[in-house]
Amino acid sequence: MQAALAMAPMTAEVSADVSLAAKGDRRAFERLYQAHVNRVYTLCSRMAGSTARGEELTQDVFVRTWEKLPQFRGESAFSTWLHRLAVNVVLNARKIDGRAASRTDDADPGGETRAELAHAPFHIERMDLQNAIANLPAGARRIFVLHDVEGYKHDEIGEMCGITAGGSKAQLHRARMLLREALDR
Amino acid sequence: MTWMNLSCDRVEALLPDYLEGEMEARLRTSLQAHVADCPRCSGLIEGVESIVAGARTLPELVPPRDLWGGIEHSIRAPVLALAPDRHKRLVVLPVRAAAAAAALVIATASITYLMTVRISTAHVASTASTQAPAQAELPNPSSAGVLDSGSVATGAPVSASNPSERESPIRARVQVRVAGAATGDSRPARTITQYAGNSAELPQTDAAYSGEIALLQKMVSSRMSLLDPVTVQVIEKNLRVIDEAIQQSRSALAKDPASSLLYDQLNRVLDKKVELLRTAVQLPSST
Repeated sequence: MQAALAMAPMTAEVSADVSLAAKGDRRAFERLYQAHVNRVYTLCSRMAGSTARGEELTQDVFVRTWEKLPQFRGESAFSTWLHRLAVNVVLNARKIDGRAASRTDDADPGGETRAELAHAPFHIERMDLQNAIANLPAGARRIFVLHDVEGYKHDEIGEMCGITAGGSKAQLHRARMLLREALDR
Repeated sequence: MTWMNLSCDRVEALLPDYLEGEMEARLRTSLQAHVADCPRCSGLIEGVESIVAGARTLPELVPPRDLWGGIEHSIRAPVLALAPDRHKRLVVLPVRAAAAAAALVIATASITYLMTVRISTAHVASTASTQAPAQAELPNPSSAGVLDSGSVATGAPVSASNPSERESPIRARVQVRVAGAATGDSRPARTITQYAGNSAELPQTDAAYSGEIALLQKMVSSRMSLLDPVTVQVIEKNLRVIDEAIQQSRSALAKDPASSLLYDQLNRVLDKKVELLRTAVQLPSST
């Protein structure tokens, strides 16, 4: 499976807006934002395990998109390109948030995350699975989201995260086991 | 086909390959045979499969608020061009960034220019006011013509009284302005006295720089998460050093408000801060 965002065809409207936005047309870029913001926000929030962080990262993604748009050559669909860029922004932000990441990478998530998610303004039902994913340790959560939610393959994840495909597979297994344990409670 | 006996731990360890479909047929058969007789392992596989299926159908999230405002603010912020530096390679900016950069460079240059003129004029006025009558001391239109590119006019009354003032860039600029204004009519005298001894120019200077710096700092803040952490540390450290220098200059000016040297020093450190922030805004993202 590949993420719907990444697989969305590039319509003529999107293509025109991409071209205009690359030349500095902010209105065209706003249309691209409106068309893709939910997907990007979903990816960012799930990977970060926090809707608040997801908002910040979403903004970073679109600012970065604006900066990089002139380099978009149309070799892939815009949505695919945007999705990959979003993943890179989130993964790079992890390095910036190094201390927080190291705190959550190998330890059980703290009550802070749970408390935040308890009041998370998700516009869907608070699904057990969604909350359980958010409460995964950061490393396992990223791999789970990229593989099981977004549909990336282990070798792609390994390349993006700077780990081996085997490492990605091991983290995914760990995430699934932790999720099962959490959902069985 | 024969199969081997597998323990529950072994089944759990094999689960990733099993779910990925990357298991050789014989091992898969053995695993399935174990699972058929083991409620624990069948429950495990069932649970994981339902998680995988659930993950694929998770609903899309919607931001609880409009994020476009913040994005638009960031992308509206212009990227500034740095002054040419022979130690740096040429950076080619996108057309829109270059245009925006040019606009802001003009704006900031104008601000700095105006501030310089105002501050400097105050000093000239102070000097001129000691040489009565002020208007009589001003260069006439013909003498103004010899002023060139900020140099001091030979024989210009304002500067002739104190040769050391010619060495001050501020004084030199002021004299050009005074002479240029003098080519018109009697207004030069008013222009001079307008700023004479007006130490209130300092807050105006600060306000102009503060606005510029606040804009740049906002731009830098919005880009911090995109920059390399080590770079961010260096920027923050340098900003702290510059801020300390600014604070020291302000403290000194508070004690000696008439000092052109201190005005000049404050201008320079504020310019440094603007330059550093401009550099930070232009840094390429680490992603």
